[in-house]
This record gives sequence, C-alpha cells and structure tokens, in this order.
Amino acid sequence: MSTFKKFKDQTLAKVYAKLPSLLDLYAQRADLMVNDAAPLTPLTRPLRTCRVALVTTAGLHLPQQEPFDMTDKNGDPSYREIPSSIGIEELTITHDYFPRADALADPNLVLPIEPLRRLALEGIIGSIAPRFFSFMGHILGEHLGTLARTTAPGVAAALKADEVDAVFLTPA
Amino acid sequence: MGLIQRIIEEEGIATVSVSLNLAITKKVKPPRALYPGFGLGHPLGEAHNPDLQLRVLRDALSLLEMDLAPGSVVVRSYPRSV
Repeated sequence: MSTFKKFKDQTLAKVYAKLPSLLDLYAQRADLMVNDAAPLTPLTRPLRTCRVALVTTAGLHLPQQEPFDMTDKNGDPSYREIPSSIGIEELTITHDYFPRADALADPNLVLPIEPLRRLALEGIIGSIAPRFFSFMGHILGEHLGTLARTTAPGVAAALKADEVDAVFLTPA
Repeated sequence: MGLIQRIIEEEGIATVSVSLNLAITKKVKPPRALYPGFGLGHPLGEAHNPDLQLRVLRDALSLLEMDLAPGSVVVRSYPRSV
C-alpha cells in the first residue's frame, strides 16, 4: 500500500471518529454489502447455561502471532485464534483504520474478555469458550470472497467444534 | 463484521453484535445487534470503565433471549463519564 493511501485511510478513520454522521455517508457507498433479510438461529437453551465466544474485527492478536497485512489495499481476510485464558494485557492490535489508542490501553473495549469472565462468575452465562477469533475489518475486493467462502466459515466450524451456543461480535 | 456474523448464524449458532452505525447495520442486516451510540473504536463504550463494558455486554447478550425479528437493531443509550 502506498504511504499516501495509508495516510488517507488513517486520516479518514480519525475524521469518522470525530464526525459520526460521516459514517452515514460511507453507508451510502455502493460497495457495501446490502441484504434484504437476516438469518436467525434461536437460542436453544437459557443463556445461563450457554457457552459463549467472542469474535472481533478490531485486528487484535498476540505479539507472537503474525500481524495482519496492512500493505494490501483490500485488507487481510485471515484471522487469529485468541485463547480465552490469556491476560487482557497480552493483546496488541494491527489495524490502522480506527482510532485505536483507547483499545490498546484497554483491549476489553473491543474484546470484552474480563466483562465476560464476570458474567460467567455471576452465572449470567454458563461458560466461556476455549478460544476467541480476531479478524481485521476493512476487507474489500477479492478478499471479501475469501472471507465469505473460507475464513469466516472456518471460524464458524471451529465454534461448532468448541460446542459454542452463542457468539458476541464487535466491530471497531 | 456483519458478514462474519451472518455466516456464524447460518451455521446454527446464535449471535449478537454491537453496531457502531445504524445506517450500515440496517444495510448489512446482521441477525441481532445492539446500537449503544458509541463511536468508532469504542464498541464497549470506554476504556477502563468495566461497569459500562459489563452493562453493554450483558444488554447485548440479553437480546439472545428476546423474541426479536431477524435483523433487529435495538437502540439503547448509556451514560458516559466524559
């Protein structure tokens, strides 16, 4: 990616953050996926007995994992597995397109591991899945196909293998 | 993110997400979403505000037990410390 493109994207992220109404303009863009209907899977058991997993597109990963590729203008459709037992302070972020200073200071802001542990302790949820999954957002062009056909179904299959009942997702 | 959420739901797992923008979420139509009115980079509200983060997470998960139409976006507002 050119330095200019990177500068432009980072600057736009800052502008969107300051002026949320500009995001409405982004929403008008033709390349945004538009759907007429949504799938729905009802919860089959009470939340207090459910195993819950987290999925984010904030570009979080562990320092020893390969960072997301920020040089491809269409983004990086891969994902990183985050063991749910990690300390929240172990996480870092490779994703320039949103204001990330607060999320770096407290990753619970985008991947609420500690709040989820509190809900498990309080019995609001049954248990926490063994692993969470982290993507970066801003996936465009041909990589959208990879995300839709390969990496997102891969995560769905892993969640099934982990016998997850419910997933909480966060953009950034 | 909405695409990933839809694919997980289609695999038979109930999902709920945070929306950072109503116009985008209404177009992408994830199965269920909570719109808490926070800005980019802040889906759970504020850094180092565990009570707020817990409230947002609990409220979002509670949508899973509600009888909502597919694609529902529930709007809630939250107090902020700044």
